Amino acid sequence: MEIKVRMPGAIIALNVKEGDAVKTKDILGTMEAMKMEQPIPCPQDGVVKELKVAVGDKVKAGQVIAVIE
Amino acid sequence: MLETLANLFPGIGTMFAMDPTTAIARIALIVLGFLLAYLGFKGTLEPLIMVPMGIGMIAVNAGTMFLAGGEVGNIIVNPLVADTESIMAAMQINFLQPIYNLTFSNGLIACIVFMGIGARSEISFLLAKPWTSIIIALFAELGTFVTLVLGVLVFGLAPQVAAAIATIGGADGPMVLVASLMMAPELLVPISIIAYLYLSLTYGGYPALIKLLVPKKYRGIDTYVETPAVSQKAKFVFILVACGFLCLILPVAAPLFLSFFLGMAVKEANVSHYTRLLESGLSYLATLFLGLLLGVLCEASTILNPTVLTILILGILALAISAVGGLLGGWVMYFVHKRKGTEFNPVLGIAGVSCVPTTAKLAQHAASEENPFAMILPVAMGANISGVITSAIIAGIFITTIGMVA
Repeated sequence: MEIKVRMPGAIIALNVKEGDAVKTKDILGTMEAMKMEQPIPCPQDGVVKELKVAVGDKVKAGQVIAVIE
Repeated sequence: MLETLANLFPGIGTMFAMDPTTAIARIALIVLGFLLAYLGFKGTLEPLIMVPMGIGMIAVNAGTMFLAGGEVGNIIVNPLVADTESIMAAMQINFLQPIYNLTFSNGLIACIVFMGIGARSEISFLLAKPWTSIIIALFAELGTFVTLVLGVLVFGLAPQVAAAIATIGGADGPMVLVASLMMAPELLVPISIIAYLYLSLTYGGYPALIKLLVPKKYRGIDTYVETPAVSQKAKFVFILVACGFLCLILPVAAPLFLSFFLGMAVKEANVSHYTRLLESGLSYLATLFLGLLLGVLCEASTILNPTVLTILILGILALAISAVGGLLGGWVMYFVHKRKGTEFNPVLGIAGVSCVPTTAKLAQHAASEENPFAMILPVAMGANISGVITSAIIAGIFITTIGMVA
């Protein structure tokens, strides 16, 4: 499943690496959109297969930032 | 001896040369200026406007002196000069006079701020849920209409004056300025000052209104919206067409439409130099001088106008009723979505009150408080931007129709 961000902004923190196991509602990271910090939640249990961004990257609305299996 | 002292310290001396009410008003305004600037410093009120406004208020009310011809006044600005000769003369003496006559009283400074707002507005949020955004924005104009009616029927104001004050309910500083300019120029100063003051206060008051009208369990509803695959080309064309169309039907608001859509167009066309200029440099320059001007216009003799009390009352009513109207719109959309089987957060209604991006962020905050994973900001921004355009259209309609009826 692809994890997408919903607003344009920047990734200011990442709590997981590729290969980490995650559960539903875990916070994968934090993004800053319009000067507000928003947590990025994980919608399902699984393992982080791909992490497509790094801390500091600018992201667009709808951009895929990770893939969970 | 007292005479000499009075002449040595004209700021104090002039207090005795004017009638007691004005003198007391001057002192009260100095204190108010202190308060506003300090609250801006603390962050309770918007510092971008309040710090320059507060300090301007202090300076203009303290720095009164005896001018040539025995009159009492200051060398900061004189908003009352009317004929060209006097204006030219004043512009060479009063240091803020050129800014007042050449950017404030013709609406330029308000339009530059509006360009900045346009440059920060992402239209795809509006295009993601167009009907929801527009309906919420319309509901959020309730305050404007109610205030217009109240102003005319209850307070007995002339329709244009009531309409100018009613635009405060649109929650958009530049719009109120331009509307007052065209419909009630003699009240431009008090209306603008009160509008900006109240707009700063929405930070404080609106969250309480949200908590009052939307019960806890509804505040945390996550509202998902699929980001539309609208091409940049489509967005850009939409911006140009919208601008042309709106100017065609409401030419009196053309300066507002032009400024807003210019900001948006420049952003959509990726003219990054212009976007950066409008978003930051120019926008903040205009805001700084706007705040400063509002402060120095708050001079005791200009502000001691009996209508001021009416404006104070109607202004707060306009903003409060607009918030209620917006939240009502939020509830309407909640039920509309429920029937379709999707979720909608009623708090989003407040984003229809077009204080960009303040009210959208207020909506997001209210949701995050109850549900940290709720991300309603995109939908809120759609309603926000829709609100700006709606307010501009209504200001245009008012000016066109009421200006004609008068």
